[in-house]
Amino acid sequence: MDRDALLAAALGAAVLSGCTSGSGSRPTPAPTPTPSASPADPDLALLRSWATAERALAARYAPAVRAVPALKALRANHLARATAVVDHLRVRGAVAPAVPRQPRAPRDTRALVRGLADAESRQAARYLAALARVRDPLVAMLGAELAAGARQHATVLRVVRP
Amino acid sequence: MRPTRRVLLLCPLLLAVPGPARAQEQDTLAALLEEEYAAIHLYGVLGARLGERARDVARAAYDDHRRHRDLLLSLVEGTPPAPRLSYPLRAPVATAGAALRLALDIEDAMTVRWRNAFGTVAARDRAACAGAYADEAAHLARWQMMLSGPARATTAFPGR
Repeated sequence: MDRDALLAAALGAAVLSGCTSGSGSRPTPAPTPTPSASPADPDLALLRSWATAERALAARYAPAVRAVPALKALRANHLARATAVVDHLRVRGAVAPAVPRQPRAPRDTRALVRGLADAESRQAARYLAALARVRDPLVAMLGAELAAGARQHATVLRVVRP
Repeated sequence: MRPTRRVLLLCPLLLAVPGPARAQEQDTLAALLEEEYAAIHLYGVLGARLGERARDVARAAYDDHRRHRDLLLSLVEGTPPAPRLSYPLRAPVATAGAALRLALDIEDAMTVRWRNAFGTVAARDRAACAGAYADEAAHLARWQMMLSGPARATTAFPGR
């Protein structure tokens, strides 16, 4: 092998290692706890809004579950999702914001279920729109799961017979 | 030391080699494209066995699979895999019930596949892939709803 070829090989290795560092085939590391939330963390505001949304939706299901007991499973899904989001906040040293007071639910069960279906559809769209801004791939995966879950709920609520 | 002309000529070739992450993404998307071809074919088979209401649901799912196929064709670089002439059925689809179960199996599998693919795609393709994943999860819930009612139609994290 001549000197030029050796130089080319060395340069190639350097270029390739530069291209792949940090995004190679290694598994994405799990989030590690930090002592306090960093205001520079771009995912923090999103996670806070997701925690609020999931807990608010869970709260909105309470009157619907009384009317349609089968919807209990959907409320449980929101509680599980809220827990997952709060876990992401905890490892960042942040806490979930308080859930805002919910508007009074309509008395008519059909209107109640229809309102929930609309709320789930809107929330799914919000999750999808936010994905472009997410920095941490694990948070992006969670956001995609929340969007898919909200779409499932909207689908069921549009066909369920109250 | 100044780089020689030969080294400078090699640089563009070296930069064009995809990194392992990009290669993994492309393999995943190509495999998913083949799954979408199969889903489109199988919906064509099961649609004939369904009643009118279920056929409307199947048509919406079929249209989404075609959209997802087109999305994947736009994301796969180079020559994408071509569809096969036929795809095997794991069980005969002789009744409406068997057709419903096949539709459920298709959507169950595709929800898992799209979720897993989402984990490999580049940030710029995330929203499109998450949209497809959400579509599949919604179709899965619709078929589950038909087969077992609302209590078992959804999961906290679809496809996980």
